Amino acid sequence: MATREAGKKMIMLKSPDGMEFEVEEAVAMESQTIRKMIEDDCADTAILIPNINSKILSRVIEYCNKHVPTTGATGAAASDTVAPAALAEDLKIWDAEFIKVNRATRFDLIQAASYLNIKGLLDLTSQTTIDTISDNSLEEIRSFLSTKNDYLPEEEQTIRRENQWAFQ
Amino acid sequence: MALPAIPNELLADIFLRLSTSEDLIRASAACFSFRRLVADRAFLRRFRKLHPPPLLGFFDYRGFHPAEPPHPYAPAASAVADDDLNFGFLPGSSLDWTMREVRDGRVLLNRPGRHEPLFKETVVCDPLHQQYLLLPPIPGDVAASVAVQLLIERGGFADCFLVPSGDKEEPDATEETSFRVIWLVVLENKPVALVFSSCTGQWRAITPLIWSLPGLQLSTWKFWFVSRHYAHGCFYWISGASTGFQVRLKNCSCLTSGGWSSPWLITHPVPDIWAMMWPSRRQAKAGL
Repeated sequence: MATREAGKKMIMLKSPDGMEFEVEEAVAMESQTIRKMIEDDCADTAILIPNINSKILSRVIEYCNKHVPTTGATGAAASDTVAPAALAEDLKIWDAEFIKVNRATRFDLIQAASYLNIKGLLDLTSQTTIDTISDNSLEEIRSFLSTKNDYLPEEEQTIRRENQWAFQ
Repeated sequence: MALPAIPNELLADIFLRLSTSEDLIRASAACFSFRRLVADRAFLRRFRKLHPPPLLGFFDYRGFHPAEPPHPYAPAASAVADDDLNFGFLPGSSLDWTMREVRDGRVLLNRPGRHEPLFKETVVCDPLHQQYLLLPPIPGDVAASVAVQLLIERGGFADCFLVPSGDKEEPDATEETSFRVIWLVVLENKPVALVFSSCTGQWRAITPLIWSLPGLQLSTWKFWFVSRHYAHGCFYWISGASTGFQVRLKNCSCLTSGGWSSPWLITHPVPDIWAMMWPSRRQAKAGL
């Protein structure tokens, strides 16, 4: 259901648990997946986003709202008063706060970012995974990536021995 | 709370973003399916493309020469040099071993054979991580026939060298975790070439070997001054300014050769200096 409010085209996004979110088209198009649907004219009515529950979808929309290029009236006002570098710095701080979520949510955000193809969000969520791998023990890596150690004890020993330099 | 597994494609994309090989190895140690994903040849190729190994320095007969400022990897290189890069970890006395080649972070050395004086013992090692692989002896039947021929001809030209990885003509050569070594003996009447693969751990004859060396007279070669060169999938051997021959590598399943007798490439052997490139834990220590 595309409507117009204050000159901006709106798009309706629906989560599988029945929640509806009305967002500006420009915000929705931060997602390359949705952009393609809109460009292919598949988005006359509400777009159903499968696999992403309302809780995660609302967080994703929150992210896109913050990151959509500011070209509207409020955006012009903001860029008049704030230098671009300061804006970028501001976004970085906002991102850092945004990603301070529990493991399960972060995990869902990674999958949502991948499915919706939102590069910025995928970069952000991937980076947390990368930091986890770089800074944590094998147990923590397993727990973060929700996988189980299915090596035989001697297999794990062999990997550790052969690659000792990577475990120092 | 149990979470569904991240799909492999997404996981691969995330792993590609890891900044160092050691992080990749740690990730692969988490579980078997991660290891399978990381060990995948196509994945490794992509990873290596995004993360080319840093140049740490050069080896020559005097030892290791680290990259120096303003080279971007100078700090990592100097950390490596501080650790005293030597071959003390090889079996026997390190003085016995003579460095023959450095390629893709690996060093090929040999020493006189203990049981068979005609053939040298060869080892390929990774000096940064102090690992080595002693190559098995040349198979008995080949060794015997070459030995007889060497006695009849009173000598011949022999060379043993690492096959460069990343050779476009060789799809397998981009494999990061394996290496191959070619052993070549040129006799007046018959060349013999074998290839060793670290995947199989065995020597195998390179066949068919089509060979013609018009004008090549081994007896005129000054063996001490023979230098080997590699370009566009071809190995070239030059001796002084007078003669040379080339061997063309194709999929490493066959070697064909053509010879030439005119002094058209290089008139002096190039200095024996080889580049050492390998990703290192020390990079991280050096803040790279």
